[in-house]
Amino acid sequence: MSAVIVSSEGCHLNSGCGFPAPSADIFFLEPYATLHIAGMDFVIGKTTILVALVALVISVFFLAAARPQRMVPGKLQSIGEQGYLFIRDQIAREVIGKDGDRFVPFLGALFFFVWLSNLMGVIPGAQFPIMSSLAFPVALTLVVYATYLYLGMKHQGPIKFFSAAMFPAGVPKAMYILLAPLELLQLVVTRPVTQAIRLFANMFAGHLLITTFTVGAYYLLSPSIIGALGSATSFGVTVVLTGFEMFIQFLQAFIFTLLTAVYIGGSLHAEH
Amino acid sequence: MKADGTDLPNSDDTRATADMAWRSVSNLTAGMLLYGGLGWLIGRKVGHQSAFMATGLVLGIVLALYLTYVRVSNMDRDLTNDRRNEQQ
Repeated sequence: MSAVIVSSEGCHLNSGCGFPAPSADIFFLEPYATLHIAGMDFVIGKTTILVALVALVISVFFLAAARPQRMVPGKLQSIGEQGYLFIRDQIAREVIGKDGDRFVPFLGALFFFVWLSNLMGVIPGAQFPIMSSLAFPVALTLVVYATYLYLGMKHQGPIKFFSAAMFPAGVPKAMYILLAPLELLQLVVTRPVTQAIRLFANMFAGHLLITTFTVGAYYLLSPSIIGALGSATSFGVTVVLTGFEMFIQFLQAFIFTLLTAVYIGGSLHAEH
Repeated sequence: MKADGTDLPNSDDTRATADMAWRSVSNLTAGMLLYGGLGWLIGRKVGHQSAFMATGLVLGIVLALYLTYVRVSNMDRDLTNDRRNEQQ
């Protein structure tokens, strides 16, 4: 965002230059350093640092919350327990059922990591939602994908797992020729792809929208009535959108985790 | 709710409904990708590329909707049977 603002410096409503609309370029941040290890380039940039920070914050918080287990919990322990119970009761038990408890650590780690990564989009100083870089939702989805495929094949057996998905009951046999490939594609390709894209696209669009109105407020700021009014409106919209974005950030983290639980539950219990 | 979750009702209803809702979206995507793509390929070989692709896309959507209909019917029947068994 700062790059756009710097490039548009001195560019205002009446200064003759057009509106410097932010593009997808704002998601390609300048790397701080590049490490060459074993013929591969490892880029250390803002995103890398933010990811490490998110992982550290979550680890430290839950370790600290779990450390002194008292019967009358302190503030930290209480917040930690609320977070744990939310995942256990609203997602794991609600969706997976009695087997859900053993997946709470996985689902909890996933939820809080995604949520905090998304929140980085509105935290001053960070202002970059990590999940708007496609690689991160894809990496998380691959972990989820491997988990539910493994669980499905382990609990139902590979043949039953795939055949239950590909050959639904109540369909004329001839229709399987058309439907089985569709179901296989759904299970193996579109299910993980839509899970990753949903998270990525929401974060990408939200960040772009907030940036557009922020730059708009800066661009319109000029000594004229239209400029002042336009700038104030654009700034107001930015504030409202930021609030809305925080809701979306939570919602997308919840949906990502809920879907993971749905897929895991489907792998554990055979379809009818 | 007990702490160990032993008093939990069967979560099949919740999961099946949630699964169905999300699944219909990826079924539609898969249908359009598969049969739209197939139509596109056939069109490349035979000619009339856009006609074949459009037909494939519509076929994909129709099949995905049919699949959703079948799955929902199956789910509805299973859940009704489960409830009936629980009552007996």
